[in-house]
Amino acid sequence: MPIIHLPARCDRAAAQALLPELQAALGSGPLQIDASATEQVGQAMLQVLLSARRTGEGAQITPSPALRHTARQAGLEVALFDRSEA
Amino acid sequence: MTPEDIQALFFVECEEAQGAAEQGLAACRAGTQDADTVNGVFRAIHSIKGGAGAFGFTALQTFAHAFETLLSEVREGNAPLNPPLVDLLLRALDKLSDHVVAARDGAIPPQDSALLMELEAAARYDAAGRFDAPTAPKAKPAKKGAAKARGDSARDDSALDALLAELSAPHAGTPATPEPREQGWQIWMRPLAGAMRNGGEPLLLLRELTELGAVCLQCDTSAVPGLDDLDPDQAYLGWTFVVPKTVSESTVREIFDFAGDDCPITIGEGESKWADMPYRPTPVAPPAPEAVEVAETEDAPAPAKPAAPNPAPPPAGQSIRIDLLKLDRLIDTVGELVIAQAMLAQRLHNEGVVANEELNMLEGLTRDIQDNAMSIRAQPIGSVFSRVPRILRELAASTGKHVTLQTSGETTELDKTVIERLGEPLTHLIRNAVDHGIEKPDERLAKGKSADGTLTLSAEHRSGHILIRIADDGAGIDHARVLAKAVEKGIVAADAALSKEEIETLIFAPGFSTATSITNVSGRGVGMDVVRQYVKELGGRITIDSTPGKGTTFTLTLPLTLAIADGMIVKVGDQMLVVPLAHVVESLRPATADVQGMGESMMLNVRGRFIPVVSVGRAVGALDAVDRPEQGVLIVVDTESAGQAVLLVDNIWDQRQFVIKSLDTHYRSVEGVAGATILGDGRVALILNIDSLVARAAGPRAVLDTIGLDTVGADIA
Repeated sequence: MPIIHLPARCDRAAAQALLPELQAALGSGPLQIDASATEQVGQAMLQVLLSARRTGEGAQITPSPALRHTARQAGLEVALFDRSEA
Repeated sequence: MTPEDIQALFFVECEEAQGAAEQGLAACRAGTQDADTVNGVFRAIHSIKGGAGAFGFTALQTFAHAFETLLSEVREGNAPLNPPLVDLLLRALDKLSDHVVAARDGAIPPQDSALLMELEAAARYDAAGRFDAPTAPKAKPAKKGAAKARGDSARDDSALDALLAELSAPHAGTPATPEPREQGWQIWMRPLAGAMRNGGEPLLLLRELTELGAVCLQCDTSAVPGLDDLDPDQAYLGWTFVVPKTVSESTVREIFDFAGDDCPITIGEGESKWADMPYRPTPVAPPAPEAVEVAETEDAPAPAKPAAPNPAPPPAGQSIRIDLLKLDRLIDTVGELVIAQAMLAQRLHNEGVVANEELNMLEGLTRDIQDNAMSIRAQPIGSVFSRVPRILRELAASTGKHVTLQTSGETTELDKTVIERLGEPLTHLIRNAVDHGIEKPDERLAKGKSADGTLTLSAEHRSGHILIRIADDGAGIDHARVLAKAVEKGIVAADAALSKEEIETLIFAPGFSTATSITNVSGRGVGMDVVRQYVKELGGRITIDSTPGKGTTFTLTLPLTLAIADGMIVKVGDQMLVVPLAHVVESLRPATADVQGMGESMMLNVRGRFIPVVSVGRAVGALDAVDRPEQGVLIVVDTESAGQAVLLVDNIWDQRQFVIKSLDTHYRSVEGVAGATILGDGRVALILNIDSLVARAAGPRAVLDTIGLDTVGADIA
């Protein structure tokens, strides 16, 4: 099961860089996304994460406090991290 | 555009915004403000705040926010714009400038807690006073509360980041109490792709909303496609937020001002319906697929938009930013064009084709292109003048001398390089004027002057040059004291009889300072000679005119550009040389009786004044140059260091514009030579550095060694 690590700064450039990696990792079981080092996150990355949750067998995201905080602000805590939904 | 570029752009915009705010506040201070003045200041600060937020300069953002809050009170007429308040706003602007500098240099942000408290207190005091106002609407206290809440939370930002772990704990999961949910209004927002470009980040808008106490009701993720179809540059999300009723609509709209069209919002009036309120796309916020489409069609024009944090209204004229390097290349090419045109004219002339219409047209067009290219580089001097009020405020604080500033000719344009390098000498002159020139208030009153001094800055075009005057109405120069000091320092002989002008010029002598005590403002004795050096490096001159008791005026004469100059092309023996026109006073053919020999040197009698004659031929080592003044032409020139002198040349060939080519970059620095240019026939002519040439030749026993023109000329050609 591949584990994909997110950088500290998850801006649009990071999302662009991450997308091919995620696309390549699809099909080899549920994705594991380690976002425990993430300090900053933007809308582009949130969208990539949401999309990953919906694609194929879904994705498990391990959030950092900062990511969790941002997700809560954006009303996406459940959609991103809820394990029962995935 | 890299993030660094965008950040650099932000700091350029900061500078512009600071300038605009400075102007607005100056108008407020002078009492000439209108309805839009405060609004303009507000917009300027608002744009700095927005950019600071986008780039994560928390301290700058926090300070700008407090500043802006007070301005918003002033704008809405809640705070009377009285002198103490204007003063506070000006001090806040100075502090903001410090913040910007700190953010740019990555330095530690300046101490601002005291000023922050003052700003907040001012906003609150006015709030208290407002209750008496009959027109005070109910929304005001709410807004005040909200603004304050925003201020507080913004200030806590840095701490907040550190405490994020705690915040993420379950009990903090509901940051807002239920009450605002029950009695709030709703806002729907759907950022378009443009909101994410150029460093824009819609989530920052969400954060601002949250800081107001708003809570995300729902995030519409229905438009998010699978990974295979996902475009990271598109925006797929839409949000519904509940905003507490205590927050006014305008406060929220302010947040979205930044994003403008890139983030459409709809504000709902519904109350207490949040529980059963189903998600519905709003008229303004298009549904997701449409949003994508809109964003796609916007793809082409959107990158041309400036960075997201740019809410300032577009200035009257449209403008673009150009890399200075590109501009310099254009100027360089135009220079070559001028040369090519001159060569063509020369060739035609040699072929016997006399000046025809087409050639004249070409010449006119070439000159037009040249003027236009130069004007692209030109900037109004107002950008330098606008920094002066701050200098005066700081000086007022440290010296206790309040100075009123009068400026004129701010729109006078001159070359960007000149503008950039003008700041330093100008600052020094102003510091000197206030520190040494303008008297203390009680002294002024005793002399029958107003307690506040006046400093007048003016700029104007004068026959191809820019004149900048810095005039104070202070004590003027004490000629006796200056002379005594110069004698004491050994700069002049004790028995020297000097004219008023000569004494005034002594101020520029290295190591000269008449200040009785060294202050931290000026008076270290490094001042005026350095100023003169700066001005000389710009190809300009500085003169001084002082009337005891009335004040002192410094006049800077600067060239419009550093790339092209006017000059006389003179023939000296086998050499063609260029004498910059800026130095030329007059030229004449002397009568034999006018020239008198004094040993090896000669003097020319010009209307009763004797001026030393410098043989250019001997100074540069030209072959076959005339050595008797009556055989050649004499050119009277002005110099900085040696006063007037007369240059002896064979004859004057032409007078025209020439493109300056640096000798340093193509060969090496040569004493007595300022640079080189290419003549119409393709030959290289050296541009004489009149100052050093005369100083060397007119010295007591000048060492008249040759410069070695032939070698130099061959190298450049």
